[in-house]
Amino acid sequence: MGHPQLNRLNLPDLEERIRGAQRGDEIAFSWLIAQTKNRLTKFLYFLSGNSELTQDLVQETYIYALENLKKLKEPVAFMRWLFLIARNRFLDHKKSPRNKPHENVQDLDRLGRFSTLSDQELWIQIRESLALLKEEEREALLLVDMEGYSYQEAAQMIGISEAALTSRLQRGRLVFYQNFPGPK
Amino acid sequence: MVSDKMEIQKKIQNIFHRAEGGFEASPYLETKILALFRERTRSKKTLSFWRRFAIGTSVLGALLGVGISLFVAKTSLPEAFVGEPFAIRLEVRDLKKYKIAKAQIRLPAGVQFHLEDFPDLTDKTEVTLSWKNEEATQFVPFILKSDEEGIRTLTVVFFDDRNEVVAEKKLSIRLRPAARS
Repeated sequence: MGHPQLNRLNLPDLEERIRGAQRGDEIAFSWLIAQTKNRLTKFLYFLSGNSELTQDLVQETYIYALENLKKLKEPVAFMRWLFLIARNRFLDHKKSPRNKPHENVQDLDRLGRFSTLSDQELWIQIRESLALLKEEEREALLLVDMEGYSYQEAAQMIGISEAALTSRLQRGRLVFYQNFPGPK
Repeated sequence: MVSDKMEIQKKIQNIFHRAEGGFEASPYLETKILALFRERTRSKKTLSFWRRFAIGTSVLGALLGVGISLFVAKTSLPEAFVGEPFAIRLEVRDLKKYKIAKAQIRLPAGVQFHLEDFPDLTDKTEVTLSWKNEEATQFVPFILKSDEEGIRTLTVVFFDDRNEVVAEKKLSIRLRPAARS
């Protein structure tokens, strides 16, 4: 059981929208952001563990993507390309002294709206379990188990071998699972 | 053992799956991103203009610089002709000791920037350029034009990275009627 093609936007006329955005169509830009912002925000929040940093990273990711959209040759790979940009923006901020030891549900308000308090609490629980992982394990877990990328795709995105990715996943999954406080 | 690992993987994926719904990022994010993107595009256009300016005027400025220095000897004011673009080279060698971050060029009434590639800047009386001391040249080049005779004084104000004024230079130019053919 995995996420069925979550790493690809299976939406009609995606290619046409991206071509439009590459020509400078701002309505197409808006559409791309609207379709991807929830997933991108979630990915960056769990990767960085910091809601304030997440806000900045989301903005930087989209700005970079808009400025470089013409370089995207395969529109179908847009989401993967966007996540790669997001990951690189996060790595640029790695040395930022903004890693907070703890976040609460109110901190998440700056990211958007949650349907229920339990949805917010779930994000906090996931965030705190992920915080116990090494960054490389966290990244691997998010790309494969949350976003549904194959081992090969995730390894390519990170720039490591599949064997190295597998090793990180095994360690990361164990620590995450053992420390996750919520229902499993 | 393998089945245990598979089981853990499935449960973790289910946890993430539960976190999928129930969240909606800010509805204003698209508007904010587009505004930032437009601002960055506009800044890059202006920066590109100033680079081309510097390249373009380095030749033109060299020619007019000779002309201006000759006029200075006779009349003590540089001169230009009404209706014709003229290049200004403002010497800034003496400002190297300041950490200049910005230079604001303020034009007097009747004088405009002459910018064929950026006509929307033509009606501006004030333009600010970012100025990095390590990139500072010995002069600030720009091209102006005026349709009025007389002496006009322009001002260039230099700011440091705390936005405080560190220096100000004024340059007066005598604008003479265009030579009749």
